[in-house]
Amino acid sequence: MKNSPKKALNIAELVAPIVGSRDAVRVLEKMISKEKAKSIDLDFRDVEFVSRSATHEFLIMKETVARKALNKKTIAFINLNQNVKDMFRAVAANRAVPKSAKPELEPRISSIESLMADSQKVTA
Amino acid sequence: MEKEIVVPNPADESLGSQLVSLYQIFKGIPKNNTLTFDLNRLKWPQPFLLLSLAAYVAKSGSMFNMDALTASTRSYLQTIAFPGGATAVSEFQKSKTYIPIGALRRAVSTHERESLESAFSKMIKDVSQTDEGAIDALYYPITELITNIFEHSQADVGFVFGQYYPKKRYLDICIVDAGRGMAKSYEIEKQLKYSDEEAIMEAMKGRSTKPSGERGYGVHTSKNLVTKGLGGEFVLVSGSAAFLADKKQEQLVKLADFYWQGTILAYRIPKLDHAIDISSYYE
Repeated sequence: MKNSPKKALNIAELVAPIVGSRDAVRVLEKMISKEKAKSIDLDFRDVEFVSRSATHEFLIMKETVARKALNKKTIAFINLNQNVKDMFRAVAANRAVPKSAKPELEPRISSIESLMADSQKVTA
Repeated sequence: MEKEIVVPNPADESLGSQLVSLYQIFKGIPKNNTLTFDLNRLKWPQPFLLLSLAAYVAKSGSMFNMDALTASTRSYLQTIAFPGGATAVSEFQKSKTYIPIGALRRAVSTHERESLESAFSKMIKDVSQTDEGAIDALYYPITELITNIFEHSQADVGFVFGQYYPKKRYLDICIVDAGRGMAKSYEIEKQLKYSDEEAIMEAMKGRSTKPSGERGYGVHTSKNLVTKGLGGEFVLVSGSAAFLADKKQEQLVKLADFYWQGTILAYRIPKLDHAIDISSYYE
């Protein structure tokens, strides 16, 4: 049986050295779906940082393309720097076991007049 | 003839005072009214105020009067591409000191927009001489907050700007859109009718407008990182409300007789000159 060819995609070139948006990952997914290769390496060399949102989208994409009945593909993330690895691990862990506690938030309710008064105290 | 509005010089350099100036400018002004802004009283324009004005001008077609500004201030405004902003990566390579305003447009390709955002972020890192071990702390809030422009605000253009103050050793970053605002976003995406104050609180608690039902993390994790993690200050304005935070306190402020169509995020962080682990702020 012939091995399916593997294809490597350079993320820094295709997207940017700092990957911020989910949209960027969705565009990449469309590109991947057109590839003939069944195994795709997403090469993160020269990628300095991936946002939490984009990381989440990468993880979803990997799962989605692996589950397709038609045009199924295996995606691997390679050459991640330590920052990017840490982000992937943190987002993956939270996907598996989400933090359940809602953030505590009890801000002081204030008015613009009191902010103005604070500003005037500084200049006085 | 457009109404002329004098832009008051903020009482001091704090983000709170810039919010007060913004309030004084737009108090009682109907949405997207075409105005002429008199900038001549500004001693040194700062990102929060400047970027908000740039975004308003882009949306409303308003004008500026800066005839009496000093030559150095006018030169600075030209260098930072005020008010229209830089739309090409090459424009982030012209000055080594002053970061231009970035105008991120929905209409361009995702690759082009990500490249511009990358260029902005990298320039911020270089100009502020951020330690390599702290780049996550620098990039995390920028990327999370810019993402919100195109995912939630539905704005056609978002504006980003930063200024590093080497003597004061802090960095101001501002991200502004003139989109639908937080309350409208909840109403349209989730059929939830919130006041502007309620919408801000929900965003701060992580209640997302994403159709998937996934929790929203960007705004509140960024706020926590900036204030608790880095000891900085954070301001969010949407509609008729604002949220201010620093490491000691948080305030929710009703802005009576004022309306910002869209969202303004402004924050200030100290110079990042050593490695910082921010992984506890990821969710």
